[in-house]
Amino acid sequence: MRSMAQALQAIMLPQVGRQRRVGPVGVDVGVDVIHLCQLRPHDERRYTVTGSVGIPFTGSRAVLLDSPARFKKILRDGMRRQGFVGRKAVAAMPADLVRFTPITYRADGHHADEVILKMVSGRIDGDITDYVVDYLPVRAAPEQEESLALAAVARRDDVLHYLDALTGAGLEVEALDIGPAAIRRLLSVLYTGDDEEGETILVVNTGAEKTYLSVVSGRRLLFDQPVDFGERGLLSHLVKVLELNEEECRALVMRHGLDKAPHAAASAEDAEIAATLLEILKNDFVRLVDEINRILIFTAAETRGRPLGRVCLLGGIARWPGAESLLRELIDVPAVDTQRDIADFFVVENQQGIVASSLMPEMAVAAGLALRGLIGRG
Amino acid sequence: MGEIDLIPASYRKRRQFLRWLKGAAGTLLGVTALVVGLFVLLRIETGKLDGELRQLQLQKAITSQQRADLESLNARKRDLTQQHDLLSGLRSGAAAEQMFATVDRAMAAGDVWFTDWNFRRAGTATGMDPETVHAGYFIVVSNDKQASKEAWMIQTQMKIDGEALDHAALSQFVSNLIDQPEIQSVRVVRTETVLVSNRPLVRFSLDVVVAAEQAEARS
Repeated sequence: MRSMAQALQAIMLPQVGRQRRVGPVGVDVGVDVIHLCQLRPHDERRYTVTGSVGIPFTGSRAVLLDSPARFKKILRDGMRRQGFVGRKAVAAMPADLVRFTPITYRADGHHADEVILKMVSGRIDGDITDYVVDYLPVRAAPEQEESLALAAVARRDDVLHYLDALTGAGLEVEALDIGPAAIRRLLSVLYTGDDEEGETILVVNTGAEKTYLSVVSGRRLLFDQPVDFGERGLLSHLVKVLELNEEECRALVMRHGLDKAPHAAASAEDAEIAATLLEILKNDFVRLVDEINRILIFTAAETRGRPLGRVCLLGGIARWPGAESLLRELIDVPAVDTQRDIADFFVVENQQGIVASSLMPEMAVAAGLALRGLIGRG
Repeated sequence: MGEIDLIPASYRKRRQFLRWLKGAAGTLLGVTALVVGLFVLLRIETGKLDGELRQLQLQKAITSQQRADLESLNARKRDLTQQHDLLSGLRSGAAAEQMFATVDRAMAAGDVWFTDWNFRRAGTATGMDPETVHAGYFIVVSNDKQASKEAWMIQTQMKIDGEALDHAALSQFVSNLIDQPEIQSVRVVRTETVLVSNRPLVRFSLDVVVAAEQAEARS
């Protein structure tokens, strides 16, 4: 009886899903890879991954964006036969081209824009008209008290250049978002829902060269800050100490991980290698944790002392075995298995029916961008 | 939930305008293509219709030519028929030899003799109403194009000049002549008394109209 119900569900659910609107393509152009993701509401809770792909490229991003034909070809080739529908996209402004600054201001709702713009103009070099500014309210307060907003500031030339590159590549950019806002959107699906005062989550979004620490409280993005901690940095540290090349070091890490207490099946040699790797990299993680602790002090004030609910490790390092447990141990906060949670909420329809998505942790920003406009419409 | 969007309003407006422009251009292009397509289609259809019209005009011209030819031939036929009828009319009627026998029967015992005798058969064209046609006198030629019809009056006349012993003999001769079935009328044109060798004679002139046989023809 149960198998019949499952079979019926497998038949019916995709049909219901197909009737739902496909969202925009989330575009996250990283340092050496472009992540694309497109979603469609599957049911009240879950989303179908219509298409997702990570397209690696050589050379710098700036060079890539300066070559419209190459950028277009890379995107077209990468998106081919991946299930993407349409050209509408929501892109994230590259993190190194946008700056976040918390703004504490006092103004009524009508003049908040002007006040924030005025305050931002005092913190930038040059004329404010050379910049594009938008902000997310972090804390709204009555007129007599101070409100807090997180302003995103980017040079107008950079924005226009990026938009032109995306448009030239054949995309129709509906919105130019920022990575932390996309992460916040993803977390609102996974954990916090639409509750403004939901649990506080620290997101450690590891990149190739930098890691972005974001604090999300409920549906509010409280803080976002880059720190010098990245996959390349860790690997170069291993290269330097072990005198191996980068690929060998990566393979070593992926095979042995950083677990201090490896699983029972592991040999003594495996455990020894894992311990060695951990020993080499532990200081890097400790420095990261120092940055995290500083941020937690700041956010404690904003959350009125409410403790950090969980830590969410995303990005390339999230795939390293033992990285999450190491972080959990160092911060003393329960880390979550993001990959498992993503699999709960994001599904893929294929010949086997509806199966859990294998969205990589690196796809988090692209998935959050793809969710724009879809949340609340399921 | 607030959302960040770093797309400058001016850029968005420009993109919207360009999109609108692209749409308008596309629409214009589509409409132009449609108009051109329709124009070409109309040209093709017009060409076909022109061809058909030319064919019809050619056929009409041929028909007109044929009709003109037919009319011409009909007129020619009518003309020939008329001439044939006229000729037949002129050939018909009493023969001169018969007239001798007829006149001879009317002459008594030598008291009337002729000094001159003219026998004449001729057709005279005359416009007349066909309703008033008297059979035997006329050859009626109908003409469709004309409101009236032309009739040819065929007459066989004899003019007889002669002398008689006296008026009684002349009178007897005329009466006998009138009684002949071949003679329609006799008109005494002139009589006069003349002395010939100291003998009084009556010199006369007669116009005799010969009755027509069934020689009339109609067309």
